[in-house]
Amino acid sequence: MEISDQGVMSRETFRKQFLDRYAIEGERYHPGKGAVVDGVLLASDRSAVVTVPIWKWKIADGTDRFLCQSSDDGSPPAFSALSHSESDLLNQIGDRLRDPG
Amino acid sequence: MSCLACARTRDRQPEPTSSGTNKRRFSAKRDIGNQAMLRLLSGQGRFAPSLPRSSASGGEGETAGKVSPTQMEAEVPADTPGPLKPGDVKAVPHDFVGPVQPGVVRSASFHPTMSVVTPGAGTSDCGAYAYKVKWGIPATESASAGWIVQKVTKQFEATDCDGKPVTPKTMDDTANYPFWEAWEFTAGQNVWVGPAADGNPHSGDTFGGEDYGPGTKGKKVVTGEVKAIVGFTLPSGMTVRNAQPAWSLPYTRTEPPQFASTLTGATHKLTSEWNCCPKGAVTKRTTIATNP
Repeated sequence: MEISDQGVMSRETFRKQFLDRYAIEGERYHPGKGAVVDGVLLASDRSAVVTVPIWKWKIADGTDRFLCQSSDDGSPPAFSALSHSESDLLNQIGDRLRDPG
Repeated sequence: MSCLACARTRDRQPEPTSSGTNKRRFSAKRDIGNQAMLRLLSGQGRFAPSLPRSSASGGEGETAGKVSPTQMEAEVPADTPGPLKPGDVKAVPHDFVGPVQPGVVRSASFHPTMSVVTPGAGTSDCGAYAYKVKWGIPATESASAGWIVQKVTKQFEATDCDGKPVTPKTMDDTANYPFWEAWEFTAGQNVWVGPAADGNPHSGDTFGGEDYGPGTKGKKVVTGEVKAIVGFTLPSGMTVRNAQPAWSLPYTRTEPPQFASTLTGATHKLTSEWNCCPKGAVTKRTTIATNP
């Protein structure tokens, strides 16, 4: 296993992104045809450990898509990030979770 | 503090399924059929359909006074009795089949088809629900491209068992409404989650609400007005946030001018009611009514 990025987030961010149910009045991404699990986001606090799959697939034009998300609508974890590249996905994850302090 | 880590797996895994470990009909009813509209415009028969009025324009009345740029560009249904406001035009839906009368234009908008994917149902005793519909593009518009745009509004009323108002959760707070969200559609009747460039096919628009717990009772109404707008351009500020409520869809709290100026859209509505009073009892489990 190769850890590509890690950091620290606030308890509030952890609760909101990984533990709480969430409302939806729209649509979330879904892994595309032929998607495979390319990695995993692991988040924890002192009492809980949460994993979110990172899916990878190719779309019709031959380019890659990376999606870090579980698929049930409304059920935690709420966290979702989509990108065209692995490096950008990691940046997005860091930007959205890392404690700004 | 909590920590996070992203790790690459060594082994490839199969395509996800609904039963995987990662926890994880109806045709659109047009407000007016093309045949009926054709008869109306050609003056044949006595059919006089009742068309909804454009929400952006009264379509009749006094013409004096200052009007906004949006009003200046508004379309009203072709059968609306005049006079119109300055700048208003009479229009038929973009997918109207047949010749268009002089003085009437073909609107940039039409109604997408709607099919129910997940019938509306309560998912908890005290207010939570799920309901999913899927948009489609009618065959007459198979060469068209644009965006399906939905205006979402909400009514919310909930109290505790003593009748005191309950503080709404973020997405039940009417101060966060209305908002507009959008799905791109491309030639070939393809509809996408947000921009087509993301390559994510549309699977369903979900209304998913949250639970209020024991000792509460109330009612929520979510209403969508949905239009497919040919040639729609996302206004600046209408962007994907990947957060509630619209998640993967471009979202804005400011009405897009092309939405305001086109014919009234199709209706998509859910009503949820519950009564978890007295506390500890479930007098009325969450009930759902939907259209479609």
